Amino acid sequence: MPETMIEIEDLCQSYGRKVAVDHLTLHIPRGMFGLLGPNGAGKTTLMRTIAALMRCQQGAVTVCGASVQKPAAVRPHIGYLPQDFALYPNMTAEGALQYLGLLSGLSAACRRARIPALLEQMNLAEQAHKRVRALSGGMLRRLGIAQALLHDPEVLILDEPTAGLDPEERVRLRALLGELAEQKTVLLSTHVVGDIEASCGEVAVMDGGRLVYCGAVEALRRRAQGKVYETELSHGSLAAFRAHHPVTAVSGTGKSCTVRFLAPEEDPCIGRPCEPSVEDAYLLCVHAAGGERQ
Amino acid sequence: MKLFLTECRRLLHSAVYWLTLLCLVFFLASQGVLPDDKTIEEPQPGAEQSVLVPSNDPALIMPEAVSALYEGFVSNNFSTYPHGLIKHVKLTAAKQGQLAQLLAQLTGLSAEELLAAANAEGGQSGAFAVGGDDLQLNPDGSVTITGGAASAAAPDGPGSAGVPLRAGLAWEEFTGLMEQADRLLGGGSDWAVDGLSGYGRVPATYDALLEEYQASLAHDRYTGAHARLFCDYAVCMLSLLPAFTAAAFFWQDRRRIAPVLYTRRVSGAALICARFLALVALQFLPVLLLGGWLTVHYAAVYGAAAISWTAFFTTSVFWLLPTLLLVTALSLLVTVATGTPAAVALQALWWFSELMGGTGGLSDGSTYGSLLAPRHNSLGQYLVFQQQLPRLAGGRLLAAVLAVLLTAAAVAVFERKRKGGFSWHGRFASAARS
Repeated sequence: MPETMIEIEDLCQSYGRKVAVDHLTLHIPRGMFGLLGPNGAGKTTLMRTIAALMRCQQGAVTVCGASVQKPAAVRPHIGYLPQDFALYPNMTAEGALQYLGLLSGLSAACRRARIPALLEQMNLAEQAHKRVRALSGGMLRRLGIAQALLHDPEVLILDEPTAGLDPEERVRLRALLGELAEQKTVLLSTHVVGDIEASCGEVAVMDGGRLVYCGAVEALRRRAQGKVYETELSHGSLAAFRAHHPVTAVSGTGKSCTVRFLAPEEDPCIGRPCEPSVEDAYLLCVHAAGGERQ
Repeated sequence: MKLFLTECRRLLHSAVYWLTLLCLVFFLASQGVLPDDKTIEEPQPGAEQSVLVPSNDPALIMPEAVSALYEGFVSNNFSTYPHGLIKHVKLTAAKQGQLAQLLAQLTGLSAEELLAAANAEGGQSGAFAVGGDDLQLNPDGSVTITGGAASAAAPDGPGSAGVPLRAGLAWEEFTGLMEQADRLLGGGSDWAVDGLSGYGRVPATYDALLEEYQASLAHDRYTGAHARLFCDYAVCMLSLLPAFTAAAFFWQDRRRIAPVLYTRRVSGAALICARFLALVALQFLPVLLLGGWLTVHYAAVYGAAAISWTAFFTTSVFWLLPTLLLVTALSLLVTVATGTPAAVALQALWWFSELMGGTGGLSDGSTYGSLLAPRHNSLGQYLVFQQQLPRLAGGRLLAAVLAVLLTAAAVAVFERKRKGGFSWHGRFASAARS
């Protein structure tokens, strides 16, 4: 099994005149890999291309050595959780997994063994006979991960798996994904920096279809060293301040607030330098690439 | 096989499936074929023969057709069926003049006389007569022929001897003038050439009825005839209802569910074919069950040894199955391609135009040439059925072949969509979200 599980070489994808992925080259190793970027960065398009749901218009993508130009060869290696995940609402959770397991080519014996174990692993054993439409958002996401794991693929492609979840569910899901990443390659796309910070060692940052950073999360954070400052401002002057400095966080109530901002080029001569977070580094990255703040 | 059985189980949970099944059974019951309230009996000599058959005799057809045309001309009110939909036609003055010219050529009367009769105060069809040596306009607007045996030809009876037509009017000229009249009325009228067999019908003779009865007995063995009538009504529903079931079944794979399916190992061919076969099997099975029940019923009516025990099954397979295959295949292709239930609207349009318009129909409403819903709207009529069998068989075979091709097309579309083709739904919204 190759160490690099997913290889992307000079990939270009577009929808008509809109370029969604622009000459992207990326090599994704085993383990948990984060794909970070604002809305419209091209993450879902990239995920769909890797999952062989979109043809490569230019460039090459291979998954576990199989080219996505031959989807039938790629499908056994991947489990995919789409951003807008849904299943047949009138099926039970177990029934849905049985059906999808059959479509994945699993034998009856294999399904009998795997499905209860998966439901247990996803903490859905008690919801096995509940209809899909009756599951909560978090339960549905966990069922989505369960269906992606049915045929025990080497690669999991999870498109914004924590979107819409409450903080508790989010934490639970991150822990689960961390466990999975010990045995598989988990490609996790999100626009929530906290997901990456909590789960991923490696990250790629996309903006406007381009790759603006690829490497360790810690290295990304260190890039923002000496470029993040804090100062106190009155609320009234905040708007004017934003016009000149990219603001990453505002906290405090009352007449004044504490503003955290980026000074990528030079000493802003205002405020005090502070230890950058991954979010600061991400926003610095996107700002440098000309992207919009979230 | 496992996938087929799983899809059958899924379909059994579909409310739309059960609703359409109920509609089919309710419709058949309402049409009196569950079971048929009529039975096949040997014709008796001397009894009044109430069965009318086309005479194909120009001498009978021409006076009746002209009478009916004149009646419409006087009242200026025609019912036509262009494109299968009823239309009430009232001619403009100019077109009435043109029709008067046609009638003049048919009757030998002058167009002015005919128009005067039509324009007379209270000019209703009333008592009227056509042609004749002496044409008398009555005060109430009716026209009486004096001399000869002119009388209004009763629509159900033979034309009276001596119903005057223009002397020397040949059949070819007559049909040409009728075609012109039909065009004047916008088409779909009873005077179109293929509608003229509705005129000049005569009571069947005892010998003809006996020949029909004996042929039916030898070949139909009672249940064959009942099976044809059963299929005649069943095809009306099976040419529409399966579209609802197929569209609802495939529409479940809407945009959000589709990616989960597309990344599975199963081939498009295996999935589509399993679903197609499940739809066909579960919608045809009730038809076979009804056929079985009717066979047992008619065994009690005619005697077990007298009937054909397979007629309902073979006739259903031959007559109904191709329609079911075609409608299901078309609906699944449209639903897979568009991701919408548009297949229902499309099928409804086709169904309505076919059933209302007919395709080369016979005068009793039977239509053997229909690709979608061939009809045989009478009990018995074995000899007519035999005569039309090649046409019917050709249509059934074509329907089945088309079904296979449409299913193959659905597989191709599914595979293409799976790889990102034809995905216009939410394309830019998805890209924006990423």
